[in-house]
Amino acid sequence: MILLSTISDFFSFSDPNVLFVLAGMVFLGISSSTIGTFAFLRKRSLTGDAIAHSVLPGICLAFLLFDTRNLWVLLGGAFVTGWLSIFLVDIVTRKSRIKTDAAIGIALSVFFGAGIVLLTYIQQTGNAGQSGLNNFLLGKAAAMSPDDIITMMVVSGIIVLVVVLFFKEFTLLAFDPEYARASGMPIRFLETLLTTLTVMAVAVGIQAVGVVLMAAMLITPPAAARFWTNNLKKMVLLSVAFGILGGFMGAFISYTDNRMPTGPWVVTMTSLLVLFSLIAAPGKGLAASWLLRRRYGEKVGRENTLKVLYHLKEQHPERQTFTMEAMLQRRSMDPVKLARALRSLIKKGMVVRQDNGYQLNTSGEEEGKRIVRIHRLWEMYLTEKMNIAADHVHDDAEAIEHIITPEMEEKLARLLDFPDKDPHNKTIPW
Amino acid sequence: MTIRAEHPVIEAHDLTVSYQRKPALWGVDFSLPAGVLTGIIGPNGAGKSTLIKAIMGLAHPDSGYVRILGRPIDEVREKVAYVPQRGSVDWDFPASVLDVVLMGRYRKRGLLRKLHAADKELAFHCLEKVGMQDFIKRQISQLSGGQQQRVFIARALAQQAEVYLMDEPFAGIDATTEQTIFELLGEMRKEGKSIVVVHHDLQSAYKYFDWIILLNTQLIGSGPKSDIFIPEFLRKTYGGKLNMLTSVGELMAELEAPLREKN
Ligand SMILES: Nc1ncnc2c1ncn2[C@@H]1O[C@H](COP(=O)(O)OP(=O)(O)OP(=O)(O)O)[C@@H](O)[C@H]1O
Ligand SMILES: [Mg+2]
Repeated sequence: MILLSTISDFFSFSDPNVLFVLAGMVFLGISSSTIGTFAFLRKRSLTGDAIAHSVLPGICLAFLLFDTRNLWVLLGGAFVTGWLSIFLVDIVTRKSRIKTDAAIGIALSVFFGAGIVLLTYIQQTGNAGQSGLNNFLLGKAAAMSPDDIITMMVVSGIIVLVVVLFFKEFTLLAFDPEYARASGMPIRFLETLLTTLTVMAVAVGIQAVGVVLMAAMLITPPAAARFWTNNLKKMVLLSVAFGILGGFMGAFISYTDNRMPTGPWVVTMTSLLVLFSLIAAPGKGLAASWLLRRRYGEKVGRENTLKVLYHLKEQHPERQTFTMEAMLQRRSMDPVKLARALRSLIKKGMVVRQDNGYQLNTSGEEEGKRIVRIHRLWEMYLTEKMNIAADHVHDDAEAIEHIITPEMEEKLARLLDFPDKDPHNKTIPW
Repeated sequence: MTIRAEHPVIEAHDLTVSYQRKPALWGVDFSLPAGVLTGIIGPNGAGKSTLIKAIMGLAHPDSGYVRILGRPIDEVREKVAYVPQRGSVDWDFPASVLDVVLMGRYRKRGLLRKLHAADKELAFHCLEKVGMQDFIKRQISQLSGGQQQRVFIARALAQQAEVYLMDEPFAGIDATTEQTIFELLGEMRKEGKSIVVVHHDLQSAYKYFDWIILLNTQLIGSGPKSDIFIPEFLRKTYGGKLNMLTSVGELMAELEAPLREKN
């Protein structure tokens, strides 16, 4: 298989270039996801996008001025225009009535437009060194040189170091900037520092991902990580892991076909990780809540079945077994669900299947009795303590009977002084 | 009517603060004695939050100044704790109740320094004081509004300050908890702390506060509650919300007239 051999080619590192690419993706994941987590929590995703688009003219200008593809030089240019755009956004929002989102939109288009103009100019002059420059648009991981990787390593090292040093401060700034200011933290300095780190993260990432999609590299890993944890430190680590994973997958796909740019694939992969988290994350994910609902639905089905069997036995004390038809007559239920509930109850050893129907055994009878008791106690509570008319309490009790815990039941019983009849004069079984 | 304090902890001198030229506070001038529980009272939009923010140095006055413990706020920040309104933050943040209370210790520990076990103990103690010790590990988005408010109070307590400024700390808090916290504030006052609270309920205000500031853009009164909490002043504070002053303020905003003549 071609795919398999490509995979083994890729991960056996027979091509030394692969090693560079993977190393680059690690540093990219570290720098952009770490700083992206704070941008995400501060709801500054758009700022990241503005920075990413605004570095393009800086790169082109640096190239034109110094006639080199040395990453440090290009980064210098990226840094200048990236910062300039954020500075302008800040000024415009403070001095005029233009709101932040509009100001960001303006800065983004103006800078990116200028960048495209410069890029076109460079391409038309046919400068030999320009060959790689349009890779900055959509990213080309394979175009990274060993020197570039070292640059990325240094920059991501700086970012990690600063974030570790200022972790408390950045956390408070993200959660409650006003309180941070009130307790005397140097807010302006911290914000400037975060913006600087964002520009740095963008600048090192654009070679692999490109300016157009770099913002997604800042935002998607933390967005995915947020689903899995409620702890900020874990969230940072997890989003780094997602960033690296997305980077590897994207780099691999673009490796399989040399013409494919890396950026779109990396971002597609990190976006898939967001989608995956949205569905699969425990607790917050869609799958988890679907499962929870389903499990609860099954529990309700089982408990209702036990209750029906108990009611039938109350009605016909002389009989032991009851058919499904009798149960359906007593309570309208979906027959398919009833059959499923009965199967599950048999497995749990609460119901036994006989020739002529179903029979409760001891534990099933106990459980059925408990549900009926809670139902009637709750009806009692509503009429006695909440002054609700007796003919209005049944539906409420239908829902509550599946929720009340043994402790609550005991409290309820004590509160009502262990009554033996419910409001409809039915016996409460103890 | 303004009754001045002898050795004030907080003093505001001719304080005017405006948003887009529309004054929210106008020539507010008062002083508060140390070790009292002060209530700031006034209708919605009276400028109570603005006053707290101006004292904390979070809103910039067009004119006038504030002194805390005789100094500008920037020199005494670690001695002043602030409880913002609950709605000012997004509670869907990856943090536990303990994490938020520990934020009250960040400044004390400073850069690069880790929080100590003692900080956690103190945080737990502060949570106990507001009756939230059972929620210490709870993710903050899973708290009710009143519980979130209590976490904010605990965070301020963890700061171990001398002056406390609280913006509607009782919003959404049930009556029993309100009483418990008022008693807690009473104890802190006995220890010599000064506490300023924005409050809406007149009844409990009269019961618990020693000193009252009545505010409606202008200062209506500041002094011991027996002098200030009288029908005449209360009517002035609440009656006719759109009084002359507000209309003049709106007019000034329209005309872009300067709030103070330059001299
Ligand atoms: N950020 C802002 N921008 C513009 N106007 C503002 C801003 N904040 C407050 N204001 C205005 O300033 C005035 C005072 O507001 P402030 O929040 O201080 O009132 P408050 O007394 O705290 O009211 P509440 O009881 O509703 O909390 C109001 O008229 C309000 O509309
Ligand atoms: Mg307010």
